[in-house]
Amino acid sequence: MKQATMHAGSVRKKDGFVKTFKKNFPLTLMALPALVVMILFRYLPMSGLLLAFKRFSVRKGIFGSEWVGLKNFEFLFQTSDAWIITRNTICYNALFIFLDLVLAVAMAIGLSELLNKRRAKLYQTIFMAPYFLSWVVVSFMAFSLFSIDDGLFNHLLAYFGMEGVDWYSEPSKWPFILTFFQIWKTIGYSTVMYISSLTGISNDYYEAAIIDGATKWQQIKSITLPCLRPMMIVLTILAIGRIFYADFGLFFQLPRDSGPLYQATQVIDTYVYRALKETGNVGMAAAASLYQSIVGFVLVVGANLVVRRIEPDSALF
Amino acid sequence: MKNLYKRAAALALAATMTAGVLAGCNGSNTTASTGGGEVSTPASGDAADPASQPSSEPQEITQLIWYMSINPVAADTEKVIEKLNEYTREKIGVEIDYKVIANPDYKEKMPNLINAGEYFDICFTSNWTTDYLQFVGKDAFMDITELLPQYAQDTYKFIPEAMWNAVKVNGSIYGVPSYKEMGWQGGLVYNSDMAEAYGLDMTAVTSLEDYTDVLKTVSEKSKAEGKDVVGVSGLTNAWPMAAPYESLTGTPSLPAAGAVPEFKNFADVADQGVFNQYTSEEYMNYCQTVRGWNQSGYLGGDPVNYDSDTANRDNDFNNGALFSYFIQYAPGTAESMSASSGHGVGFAPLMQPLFETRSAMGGLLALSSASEHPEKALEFINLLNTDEYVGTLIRHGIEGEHYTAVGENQVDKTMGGTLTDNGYDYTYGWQFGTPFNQKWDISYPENIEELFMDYNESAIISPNNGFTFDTVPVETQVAALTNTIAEYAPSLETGSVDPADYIPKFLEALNANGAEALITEVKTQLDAFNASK
Repeated sequence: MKQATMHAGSVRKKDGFVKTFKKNFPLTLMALPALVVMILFRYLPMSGLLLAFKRFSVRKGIFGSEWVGLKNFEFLFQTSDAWIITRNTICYNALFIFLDLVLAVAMAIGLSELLNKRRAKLYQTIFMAPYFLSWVVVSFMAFSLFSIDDGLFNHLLAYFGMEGVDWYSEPSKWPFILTFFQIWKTIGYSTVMYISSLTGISNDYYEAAIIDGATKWQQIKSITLPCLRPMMIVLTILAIGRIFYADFGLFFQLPRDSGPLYQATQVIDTYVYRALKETGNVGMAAAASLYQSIVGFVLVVGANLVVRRIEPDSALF
Repeated sequence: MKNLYKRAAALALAATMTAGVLAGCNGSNTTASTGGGEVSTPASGDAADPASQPSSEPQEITQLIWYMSINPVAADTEKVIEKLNEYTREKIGVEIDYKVIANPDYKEKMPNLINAGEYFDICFTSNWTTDYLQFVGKDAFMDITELLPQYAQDTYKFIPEAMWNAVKVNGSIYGVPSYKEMGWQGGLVYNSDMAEAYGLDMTAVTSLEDYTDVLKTVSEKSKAEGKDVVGVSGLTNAWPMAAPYESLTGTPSLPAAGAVPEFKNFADVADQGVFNQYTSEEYMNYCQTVRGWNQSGYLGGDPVNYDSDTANRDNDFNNGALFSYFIQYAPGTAESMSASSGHGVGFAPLMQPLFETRSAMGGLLALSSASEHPEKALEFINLLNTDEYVGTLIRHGIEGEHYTAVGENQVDKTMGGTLTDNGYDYTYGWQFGTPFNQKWDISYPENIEELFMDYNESAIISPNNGFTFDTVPVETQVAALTNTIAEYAPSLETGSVDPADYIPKFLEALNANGAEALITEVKTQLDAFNASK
């Protein structure tokens, strides 16, 4: 391709583009709808980023509003909780990425090793089901477990003669509760991703390995995992790009907005929500969002750079 | 693998952010027909003197878009609006394109619609939904100071001056406030049947400390009967009722309060002028009182969650599983509640009514700064506030279909069935303007308007009434403080934690997040306000 254009460029410069365009016209046409949608909904709204640096006035609009420099970003850093927010957001997400990777791969391999395929499908559906529940629904399910008066856990504790726990005001318990529900809810989805790429591994490898007398464990270690590696890397890089976005539903709905839990549950998204629901400042909301995406962008590029160093074939770009 | 990369690339792009604020789209299906175009007023159309009745000559019909928040949206809304349009077409040459949204959705949708520059003429605004001050600050609403006396003269006279002063921002009026009870009065509604059965004298209750004994009796006597009655709920709103203060920022929870001399409280901090109410002795006392209640089991096991589920609370109250709860009271509420709860309901006030700036912002109708028909819109708002037919129609629906008139001033809405069958039944009508030009439901006492007037006359007007705080210079601090308060206040104010231990932590967090800066800014603006008076 490169050679062709170079060649064409040196001889007939003008025809080159037209010709390539003509040749690829059907393909270009096919890409057009997606391209239009992309420009309309992904690129055009980016002009709204200007809002992060402005004091928004409805009548003056996005472009006419007055500039205020970086003032809209201050509220993210000037709070005494800035450290807690950042720590919670990044640590929880890092933990989720790690657990999700390990558990999803383990489950995908386990399910694909099941000989009874119908049963494998059944389990897969069961694991997938929570993914479709809204966090609001999950929060009420959790409430039925943790409620101080009527919760299942406190009833159980009472049954064993133990003191009930005030779940919604003890931050120390929540890292575990949040992690459990997050994994429980999302694991099915990631498992399916890995199962789909497992089915792509050619059976020849396994047959050859069995002939050579490899055990199941050896097969997994030397064939399955290396074949899954590109998928693992791609999903992880993408997840790292979103490390500064916390799942609002998880951190807001599940703890039922309980104040005493903020030390353990406050993340950037909930902080911004709580901070701006009174004042409704569009500029500050845009600033928070821009800050998150810049961090995300830097992390994706960084993670990709690292991967390209170690294993160029698996890098995203 | 190629497929995979494509998917990965799509995902990556999806992850890129878009900060553009997309407006909540609200497909309207209630566009009233503009057919006809012109309507001549039958009686006066040809003979009337055009100078004295400028609006009754044959004219183009102006269509006004009115965004309204009310809960829940009645099924027969369209019918009622059709009837309303018949009337307003003749009377002022206006047709309403009524876009009504239920309260919880309105809160989310309307700010988006305004921010996105959607066209409208009139919209409902307040300090609890689609914030009035915030959107005045964003130039969303029209300055109607000049137009009001001209196009809504009757309303301008009918609403007391203190209300107009309270809704002024930098000397200009941007909305017509709902004139109902002036100010707010905190207290407890209680099951009076139960109070009588337990031999309680509720008239003796004037403070929270008095109430401890009541709760004790309720708890003991109900347990003796084998029932588990929750003594009191609604504590998340109770603190300002226990020790009323003037909220200078307009948000009572923000730490910038002013003392109201009539209440004789806050002696330890009042000399500071503007003070942080959480540092006061009153706050400590309040928290300790409710901590006692909590530990004695008068609040149920989980007051924070109990408070948030009002449907459950109302249910418990009606069934006698809840004795009382804190509310901001309006005249007639107890009577109307006893009609719906199936037992007697009484009210024990904890304070005299207090009228402060924010009290006037419970509900307003504002004009869009882009409105092309501000005159007509004001004429219509004038009808909502002064015309008996319009008031009753929009509040109770069509006579014979949704209500039957009882005497001069009351309506019966049961229509031979139950209220749930009624296609147009609203518990409150003040969001449409004012209850004073609407007939009253028969569950209200007959002298209800007198009760309102008594209430309004007894209201204490706060020292800095008319002062509105501009949050812009301290937005950063307000954002951080809002979070801090949400973290500490609910558990302190429901007695879920030990105040002696927790209040110092709370105060420390407030100071770390700019409470001082907020108070200083309030002082500066307040001085400027007082100097300009």
